[in-house]
Amino acid sequence: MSAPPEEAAPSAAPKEVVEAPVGKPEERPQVEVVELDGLVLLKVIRHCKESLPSFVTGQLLGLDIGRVLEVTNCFPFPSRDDAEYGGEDDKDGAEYQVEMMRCLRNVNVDNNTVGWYQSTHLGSYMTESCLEHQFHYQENIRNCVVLVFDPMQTTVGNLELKAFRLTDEFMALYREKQFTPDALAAAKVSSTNVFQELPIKLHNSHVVMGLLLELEEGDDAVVEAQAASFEMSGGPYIEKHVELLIDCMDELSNESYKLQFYERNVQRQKLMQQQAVAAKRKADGGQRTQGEFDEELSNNPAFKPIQPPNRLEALLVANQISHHCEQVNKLSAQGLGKLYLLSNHGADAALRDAK
Amino acid sequence: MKPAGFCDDPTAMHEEGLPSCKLRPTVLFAIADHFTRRQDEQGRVIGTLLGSVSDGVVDIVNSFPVPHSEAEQATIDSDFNTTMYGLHRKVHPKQVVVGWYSTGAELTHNDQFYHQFFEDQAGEGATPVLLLVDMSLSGAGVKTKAYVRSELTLGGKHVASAFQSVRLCVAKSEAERIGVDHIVRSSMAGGDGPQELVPLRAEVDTNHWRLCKLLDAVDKMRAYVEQVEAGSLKPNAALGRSLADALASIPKPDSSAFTQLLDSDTQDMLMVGYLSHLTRTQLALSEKLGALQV
Repeated sequence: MSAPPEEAAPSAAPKEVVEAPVGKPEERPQVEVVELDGLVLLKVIRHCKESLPSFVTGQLLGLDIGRVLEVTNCFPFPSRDDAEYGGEDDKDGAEYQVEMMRCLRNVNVDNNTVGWYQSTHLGSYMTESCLEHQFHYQENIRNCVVLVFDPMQTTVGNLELKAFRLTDEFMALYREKQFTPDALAAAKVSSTNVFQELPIKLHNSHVVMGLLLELEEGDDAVVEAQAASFEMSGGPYIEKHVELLIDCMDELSNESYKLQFYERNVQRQKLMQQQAVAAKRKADGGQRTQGEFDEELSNNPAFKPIQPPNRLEALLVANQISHHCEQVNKLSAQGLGKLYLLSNHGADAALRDAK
Repeated sequence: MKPAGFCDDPTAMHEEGLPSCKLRPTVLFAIADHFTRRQDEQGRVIGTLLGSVSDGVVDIVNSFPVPHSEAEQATIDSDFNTTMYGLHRKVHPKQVVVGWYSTGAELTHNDQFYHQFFEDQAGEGATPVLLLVDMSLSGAGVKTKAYVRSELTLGGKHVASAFQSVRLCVAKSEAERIGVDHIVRSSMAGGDGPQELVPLRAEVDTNHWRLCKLLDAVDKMRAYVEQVEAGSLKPNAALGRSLADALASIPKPDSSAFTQLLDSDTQDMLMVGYLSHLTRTQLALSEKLGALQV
């Protein structure tokens, strides 16, 4: 008799999974791929590049279809460099946004916000403000991403564009605003799962394809640009990354000092607490229970729980460090590749010399 | 009349008194996007071109669509144009109206009306440009042409106006070129499916691709030189000089010094890579320890 329920249990589990999206229509599947229109790519590049050296942001428009987030258009936000970050300005920005979306809808452009983009320098985008921004976006729109573009990298011939979203674990954590070491451990959030990188794909309409052929045809200058990207100019970039890495290290060690300090204080307090309880118990002669002692102690200001340090900064710094490491690895790999090419060239030259 | 090619040098040759145009690829993409998103019954789309004018060269850097209708009478949504222009001014205060675009193979009679509208938009004394983009793909590819309007006067009296073709070229900045290259490469690699989707390439592939491009260029150069030597092509002194320059720019390193340099560089790279791996390992370790601490 006990066999049927046991059999039913495993089959019920997958069924639930299948039904989940149907039962809750507001729960859209999470996107896994970002599909960029060529137009968006060019627009982002243009906006970020021409506003150098200041950094800019903009809105992404598109639609999420199943597991693919299609980004079909975008528009820049006015630069807020010289203006104060006052309430007036925010209102202006919001008005601009609403007006722009209304206009774009009139000409049949997708007018769903699917995220935002920002320019950055050497990947130093893991800041609290960026985090907060993305949190607010993701809180309102489930599927939205931040595109991070490094306009400096284009000078050495690289296209440095990445799409990120915050992980669900981190979203939950950020909602609580609790960044104590215990909370982080409980939520299983580590530096590797704050941001989740999404792969970017490119998509073009047929007309654009025709356009591309045309663009490519008469392009004689392209070779020049190609040759430029062979330059051994990775050195300064690696140096800069390593410099930034060292700064991050300092910050991280500061943060861990704070944590150590906290741990030591907690230890000391525990010890004092135990000593106080033991002394009281001795004086009292064992008439009161443990609970009464605890209550008395908690009223004592000397034994108030110590505020645990905020670990958010440490988390971000750790994240930043791993990013810099990744970049250094990438750049050194590129450098090695080019060096290898050069070494062949050198061998050829040596051979010629010998002849 | 010479058809406007895609890469004429805009500064090379001025036709008398006529401006020439520099067009950014972003604008073409935006127009293509607008064209694919048009209403069903709409034959063509038009919009405003933004940019700057200096020394007779019109630099078209931005654009936005403007709704219009040609059902009975040619009309244009003037309010929309004003709002959109205002919004663009907030981001790019230096861009002004330099003309307008329209899709189609040739000029139509309504163009005079629209041109007048954009002439008013551009302000006193400006000569707006009409950019005609043929998106119908009926001929070979997408053809673009640029026009300005010139007035025909007879004895001080205005008789008629005519559209005159001007030089047009697509100019790409370094960053845009890289962007376009990426798009081209992704679409070439995608095969013949309707939705070519290729992730941005890895570095090794990029290097390979670039080397191939370079080789192509060298081949082209050799073919040219051989043709000249064989006497089938007339030698071009300027070209010859730049060829000589290119050959002279190839460094001829002292091989032992070169090897030394190479080795030290390789060692540097390896060390930096090693250090960064070490850092990551440390980081991962410390995080694991942190998680254990509860």
